[in-house]
Amino acid sequence: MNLNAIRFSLLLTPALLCGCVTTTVEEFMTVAPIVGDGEAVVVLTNRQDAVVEAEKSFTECLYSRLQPLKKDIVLIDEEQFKDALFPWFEPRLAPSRPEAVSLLLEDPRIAGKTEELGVRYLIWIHGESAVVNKQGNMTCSFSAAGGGCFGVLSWDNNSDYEATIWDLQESRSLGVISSEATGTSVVTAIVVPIPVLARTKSASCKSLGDQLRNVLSSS
Amino acid sequence: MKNGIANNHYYFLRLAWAICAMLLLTACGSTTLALREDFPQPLVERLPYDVGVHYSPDFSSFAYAEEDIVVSLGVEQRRLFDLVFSSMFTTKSLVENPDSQAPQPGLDLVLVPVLEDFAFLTPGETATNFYSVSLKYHIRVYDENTRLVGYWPFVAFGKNRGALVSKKEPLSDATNMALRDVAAALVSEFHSAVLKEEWRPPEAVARETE
Repeated sequence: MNLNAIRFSLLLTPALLCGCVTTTVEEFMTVAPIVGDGEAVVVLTNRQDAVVEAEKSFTECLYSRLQPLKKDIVLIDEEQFKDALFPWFEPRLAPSRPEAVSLLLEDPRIAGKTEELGVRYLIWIHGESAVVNKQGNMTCSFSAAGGGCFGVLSWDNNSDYEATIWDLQESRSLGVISSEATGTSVVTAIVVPIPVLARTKSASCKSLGDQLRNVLSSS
Repeated sequence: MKNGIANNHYYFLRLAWAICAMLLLTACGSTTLALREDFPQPLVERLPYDVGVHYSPDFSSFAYAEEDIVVSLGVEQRRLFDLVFSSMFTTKSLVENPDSQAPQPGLDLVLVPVLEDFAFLTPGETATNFYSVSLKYHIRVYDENTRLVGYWPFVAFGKNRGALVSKKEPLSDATNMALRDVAAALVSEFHSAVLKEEWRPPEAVARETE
């Protein structure tokens, strides 16, 4: 009986340690992308904002979520794309609107490289995860005889990201998919601190990645 | 058995001391930023100029040290300027002394890049989540008769999100990003300035160097 209770609590622990997360996904697509066989898609981080920029861990997560794309659709790594078109996608020169891409593609060197890579769609990622509204207090003390903590801490996690899809061939924006995840993390300590964390960034990555994969694979 | 427990105890004590010593050494030592050694070939329209480039010893061996941060930028920035100028002009050769009064045969322009300032800001200083790095340069432009015809100032930026433990990685990435921004500035704005001969007059150089 005791053994069963221990097994049950071991199974329950991970669930308890993950806080509740609410995710909202919104899709504003004017035209659905039609990705042809062998055409490539690049996910790029928008670095032109001085304060807000998607974390590397988020874009890596999104990239891995998009990996099992429909057969024959190529997903190109951001660094590989930026190096191939160096330095035209550095923050100083990266086009800020799709119409500017057509100007960029007037240069035969850039157009040739884009064609060589087979890039048809650019997906710009913008947003970040933030911690807001910290509350509570916790004190910890340690001595030779031992130590421990006492108190409660809580904070709100908010992850807000959007993916803007550009069609390079048509030099236009096809639409935006956004994902917002919110949740509250709590650390309760009676001797040992027990964190219950709201993993909003991974929830946001999962929902945005799945939605993007649906949109790109529907054609 | 007792002996085994004592040995284990001794082992863990030694391990704990080793970790503490390592942490202390890490805290006391300086951090040398890891800069990218190779840059991609820039895509740029080649201008019909034969240029000479002079890199001063200060430029080629530039190093910056502040508190526990050490940046050796000289080799990397020279490599980057070399790569960009080689892609931007018909020919590029090295010039030993651009201030000599003797004309430089076969050269249309002589360029002398100068790094005026390297600076970085921590997330605490900017009240953002980012480390930012700025590189302030100017390029002196001489004509074929080694007459100073003007100079072209520019500032390159790079930023990267701060990490919880170490500042080495975010600062290295921000500096690499600033170096890539140097290439972006040269390929777009300096390229256009050379084409239109739009640079600041030599009097401005004199004022700047006073």
